[in-house]
Amino acid sequence: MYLGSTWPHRMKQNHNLQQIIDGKKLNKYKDCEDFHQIIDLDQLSEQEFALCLKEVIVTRSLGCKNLAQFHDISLRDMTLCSRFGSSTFGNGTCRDVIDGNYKLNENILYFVLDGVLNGLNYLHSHQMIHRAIQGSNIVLGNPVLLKGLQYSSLINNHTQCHSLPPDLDKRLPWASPEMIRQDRSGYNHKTDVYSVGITILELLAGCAPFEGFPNTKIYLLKLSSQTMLPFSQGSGPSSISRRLVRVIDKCVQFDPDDRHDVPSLLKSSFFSKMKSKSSNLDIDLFDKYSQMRKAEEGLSNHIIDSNSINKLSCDWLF
Amino acid sequence: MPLALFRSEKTPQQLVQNLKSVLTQLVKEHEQGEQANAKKLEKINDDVTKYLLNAKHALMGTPGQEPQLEMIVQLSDEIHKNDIILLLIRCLRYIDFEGKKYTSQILSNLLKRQIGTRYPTVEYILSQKRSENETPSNDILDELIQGYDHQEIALHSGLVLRECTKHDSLASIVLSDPKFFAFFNYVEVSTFDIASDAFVTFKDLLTVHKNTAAQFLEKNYDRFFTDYKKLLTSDNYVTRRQSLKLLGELLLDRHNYLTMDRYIGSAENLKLMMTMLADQSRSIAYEAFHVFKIFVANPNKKKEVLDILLKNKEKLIDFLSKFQSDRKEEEQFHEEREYLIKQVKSLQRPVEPSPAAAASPPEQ
Repeated sequence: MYLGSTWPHRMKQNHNLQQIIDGKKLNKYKDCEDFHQIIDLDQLSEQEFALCLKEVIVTRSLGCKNLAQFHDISLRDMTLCSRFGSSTFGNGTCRDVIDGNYKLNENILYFVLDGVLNGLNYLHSHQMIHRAIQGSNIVLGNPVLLKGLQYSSLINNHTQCHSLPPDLDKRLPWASPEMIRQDRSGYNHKTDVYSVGITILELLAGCAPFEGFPNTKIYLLKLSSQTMLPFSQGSGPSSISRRLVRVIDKCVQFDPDDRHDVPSLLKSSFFSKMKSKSSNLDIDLFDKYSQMRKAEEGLSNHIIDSNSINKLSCDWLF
Repeated sequence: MPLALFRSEKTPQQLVQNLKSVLTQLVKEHEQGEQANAKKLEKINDDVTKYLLNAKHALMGTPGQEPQLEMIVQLSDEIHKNDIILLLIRCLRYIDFEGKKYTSQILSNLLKRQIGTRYPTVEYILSQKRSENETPSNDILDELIQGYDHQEIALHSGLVLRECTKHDSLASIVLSDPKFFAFFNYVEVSTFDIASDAFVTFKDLLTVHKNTAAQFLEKNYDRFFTDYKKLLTSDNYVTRRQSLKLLGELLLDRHNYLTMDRYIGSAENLKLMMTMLADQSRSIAYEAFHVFKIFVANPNKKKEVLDILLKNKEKLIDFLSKFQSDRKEEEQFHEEREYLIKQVKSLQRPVEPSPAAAASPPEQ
């Protein structure tokens, strides 16, 4: 798994942390603050390495406050260090929050969605589609940041994209039916809108619909379903406003032509209503979450010795 | 036809004229250096960005509104007629951040525009080709390559240059231009993102149009591989890893058979690969393995190559049998490694003809 988009504090919570410490993946946290990302490039596979370089190039050419960007990139031997020009990373991603059993109320959700949709609006207006919208690619804070741009693709307005993003099988629950169908009609920027809808469901319910299902089953369910709202089966949260349900409904339509585009979503009644209430935003959650993280600081002191990897050397005769 | 979307310009002709006028003003203001009027400059920059956005919307539409075909045709023709492409590229460094993005999008879009089998913008760029000293070159492509010299426009120039090099005819001009060798410096610049972007362009030039690239490599073998060795031995980890990976791809491509044959006939190249095979970096060693295997698998090894392999026969067998054996999921790697071990074990000096046999005349 490419850790380029995984912030250090996220790693502290990663379920596979022991595997990482054992030397499967190296991420050094020595002298590392939350605002820095340190990647041991030598531990990245060919594809992960290419994605990492792509992420750097793509993010450097973007200018939107809601898109995560690299600053002060430097290469020290095999280690890539970069700084993020924001203090938001102390709060982790939306997925971190819901994994920590914190639920996002509609106030917070408005705050998150506003940031995500503004970031997406910028991307779409610059002929790019994100293709990896999900809770773990949304960084909480002020401003909310969208990451995972290494999976993005350039696309012309009114044309279709056919290529599939790398590692799609890890993000199938968020992928739109037209993307996974892989037919001649392809997909366009509406694929991101679908993923936004699934992400809202993920943030409300704690996990995305069909998350954890076998991939084949997800394919079959997605391609056969006309609706993606699992709430109708009584499995979702009960207390969400009608306005938000309408937003979700407009995002997860099976046919991309029936979905709203991002500017229309931002004009929907949910956003206009919540905007007027935004002064009451409960950002206290961020502080609570930060405290929770500090309690887990014990894990942060793991420093991995790269020499522990078995290396061969040889004195050749020439 | 009027531009329905925008009030300030009524026709594509007007839009292009306005854009040309403000770009010319922008250059003039910047030429004045410190004496330039900051307020005036800001106003000009705003106008440039506004006209660029209008042009972008006319060419590419807006979300929810498709572009009009007639408008695209007229605007493209006007852009070509007024030589706006070169002017835009030359002014790129003076244009503000969003304007730079619009510029690269407009130029990329124009390059993609196709009428039947024709690409009007590619034809336009080709018509700008000038021939000096038998070396074809092109102002537009030259400016785009030199964009890598300027940090603030490198990524935008790179994007447009890559769009150009998707076309064989334009890629061929870039490869024939001595400026191509500047890429060996661009891929090593200290700014990480620019170096990475330059490498993407460099790689595209050498891998997308196979026949053109193969001819280039054969013709420029000595200079290319002398410079390439510097990349392979660079202090920069990313440069080393990327260049080694690309080398493997180039040598294993059947279009580059002659280049491969020459490369694997060199003992110096074998020494370099064996050194990299034992590199401290696991990924570098892995990529080196994929080049090294070509030397070993070659059925017609040159004497000097065979000598080195024979000198290290036992060491190689031992080394390869332990080499990255934890890559358990990579079946092909293990098969190749086993094959190499087998090949190295079977290495032996060719039987030299005895002096008597050599002296006797061949049978009639």
